[in-house]
Amino acid sequence: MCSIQEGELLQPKRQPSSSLRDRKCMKCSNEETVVIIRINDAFCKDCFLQYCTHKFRSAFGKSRLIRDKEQVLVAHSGGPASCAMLHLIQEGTSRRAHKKLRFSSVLVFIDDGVFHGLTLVERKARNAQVLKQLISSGLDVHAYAIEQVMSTTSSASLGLPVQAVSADSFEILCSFDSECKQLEALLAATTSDTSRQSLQHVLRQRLLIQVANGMGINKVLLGNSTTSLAVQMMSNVAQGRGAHLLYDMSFADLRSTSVTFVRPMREFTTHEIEHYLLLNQLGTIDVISTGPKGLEGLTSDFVLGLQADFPNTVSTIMRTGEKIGVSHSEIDIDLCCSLCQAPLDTDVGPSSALAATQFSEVVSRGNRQSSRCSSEATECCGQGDGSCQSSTRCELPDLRRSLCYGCRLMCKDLKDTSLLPASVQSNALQVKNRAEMRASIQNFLIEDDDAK
Amino acid sequence: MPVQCAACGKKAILKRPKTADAMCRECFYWAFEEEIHKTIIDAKLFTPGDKVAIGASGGKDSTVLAYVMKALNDRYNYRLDLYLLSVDEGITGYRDDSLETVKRNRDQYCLPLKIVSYEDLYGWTMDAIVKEIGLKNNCTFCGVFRRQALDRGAMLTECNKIVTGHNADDIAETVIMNILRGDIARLRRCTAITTGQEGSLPRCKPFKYTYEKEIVMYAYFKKLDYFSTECIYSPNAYRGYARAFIKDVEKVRPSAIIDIIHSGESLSIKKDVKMPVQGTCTRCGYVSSQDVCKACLLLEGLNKGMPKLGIGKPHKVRKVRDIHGYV
Repeated sequence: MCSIQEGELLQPKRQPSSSLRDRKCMKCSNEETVVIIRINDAFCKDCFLQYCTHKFRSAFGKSRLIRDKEQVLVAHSGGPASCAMLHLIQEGTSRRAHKKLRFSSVLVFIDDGVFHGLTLVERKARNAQVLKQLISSGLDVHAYAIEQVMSTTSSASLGLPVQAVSADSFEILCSFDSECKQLEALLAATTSDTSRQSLQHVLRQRLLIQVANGMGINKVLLGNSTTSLAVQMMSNVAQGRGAHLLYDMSFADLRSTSVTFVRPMREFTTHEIEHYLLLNQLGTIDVISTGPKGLEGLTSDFVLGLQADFPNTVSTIMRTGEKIGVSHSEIDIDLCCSLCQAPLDTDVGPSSALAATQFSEVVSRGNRQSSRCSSEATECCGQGDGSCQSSTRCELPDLRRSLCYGCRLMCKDLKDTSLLPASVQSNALQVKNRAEMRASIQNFLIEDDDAK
Repeated sequence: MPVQCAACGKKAILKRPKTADAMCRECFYWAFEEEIHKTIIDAKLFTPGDKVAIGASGGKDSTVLAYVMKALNDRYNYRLDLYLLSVDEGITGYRDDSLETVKRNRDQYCLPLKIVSYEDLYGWTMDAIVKEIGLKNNCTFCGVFRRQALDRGAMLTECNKIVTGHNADDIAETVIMNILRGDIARLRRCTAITTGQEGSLPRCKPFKYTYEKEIVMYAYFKKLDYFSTECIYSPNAYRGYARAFIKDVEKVRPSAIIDIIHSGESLSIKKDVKMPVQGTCTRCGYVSSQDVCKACLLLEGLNKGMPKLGIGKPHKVRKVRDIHGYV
């Protein structure tokens, strides 16, 4: 039957095709237009830059999240959005700023060359290039390599002294040989680009949390733009992460109890960022720009392709995202994903996509008699050496049970989950132990009726 | 060496699109039917004695639905009274042909068939409507009228439930569409397996977790008789984008269709977001979020010679009606 429903034929508006050049700025109406933003708003250079600064400041003002003189970590990837954010922060804290931003910033760069398959020489060259630029900003710069997330040493130090890097000290970033090998093994065992990409997101986020904790800082600024968030939202929906959209999209991501991720660039489109950089004669620092691959790349092509025809696409996705909340108002650490640390979304009952998928797996691998039983009880870690039964390592079913739907999908593409960082294994073990403790004292707990 | 069936070890003839497991014909049938049975039981879709109208268009989804519903009803003794219910939109060269398929299904599956037509219910066929409105907005009429037509047809046969052949791909597509369109009310509703309890008949989707490809496979191997032609009036370009996206995503990660449904199921809407209030139409008493339902409005436009009356956003429609003094 035709699946078109009532009301859905109201189609988004297409791009108006008007000539742009001979128009005056819509704000001051006497300067030349240099950029068209939103759908069809013409701005001159001064008005556009003012608009950017105002938008950036008001994001902080409205949220009242960051207190006076608070120290924040600014995650810098070297990409355009990071560069624009750094410039806006510098302008906002400079002496000539009209209303100063009142926090102090520490830059942090994470060398993720392993994910891009760079050689050591290439990584060194890239690190040197990016870090020299960052150091020239005059702010304190800290640098880490993504493989340090594999480290088994205590999370606070990560094997690097907690002090700013100087121009000659970033060789150390390429010196984590054993961690690097571990990460390479993990990536080699990951069978899809999609999962490698989401692994990169998750590990980067974990490392940032560890770094911030180590430095005693509890706010991390990220450079996500409107466009990249809209793409990320669609790709997260496609990867079963619908329950966590609030965390992934909002100005302040409160999923981690110790560190809040803040996204001050979330109102800027990539188009605005490009023009901001252009008009301030800034370039991007990082030269490698391998776009996203796998599902995220596909989604990116889809959203950006639509955006070209229907210029409201990105903003409509964002507005939809803003109306989505989370089902649990309070975060219960016992029920958080051991990987991405968002609340678990896997307690969904028998009539659900998750149960239906598990059932599909059972029925299509035979076993007609026990097809009604839960699939969780019969899994093996796949090692085939009986290591499932030993309690030293966190077994696959336990690990799996401690992951959210999206991270479970990712781990399905992972041939050997024991390659995941030790901290993930210990998180999972902790979740399991807490659950067991809770079960043993269950009868003595007074439950709030509204809790569920 | 031939590929073995993952379930029984015999020679496999297909790879399941949903799980990528190789299976033989018999085990595939069994798994396919068993999954739908589980969906029906877990979601408590029916109670014994229900009279269920199967929305039958003659297409692959509804043909397989009718076949599987009858098979499961016999096998697991649901004790349901099943009816085939078709809507005749009055589209020459499309619906008249597909209705022939439904009539053959009626005889093959021994199920009673009821056909309701737009012409009887509204006095207009889609062919006549297209003559008035042209090819641009005609799907609005068809979509709006169909919703009520199914309900009215079901009531005429004294059914108390309707099942439709919407499959997992359709639902995933709708989730993506509603995000792209910013339609938060539909986004919340669209993953529900049963909809419309208040004021209208409950409608369920037993194929909610069934892949379109598997439905085609099932129909192909069972050699079921179905009609496959796109509607001659259907232009819906925007849904086409979402559809193409779902197909691409499925190629990269086959589980993505179910994953999108999981996302849709676990979305929760912020409490302070304003939702349209469901009321009833002051004219026909059918559920509506406006004082006059869309079907009545569209019909009024047609009958008064201004077919564009009900097209567009509700607040704009209200403006046009105020100017012309329609209540």
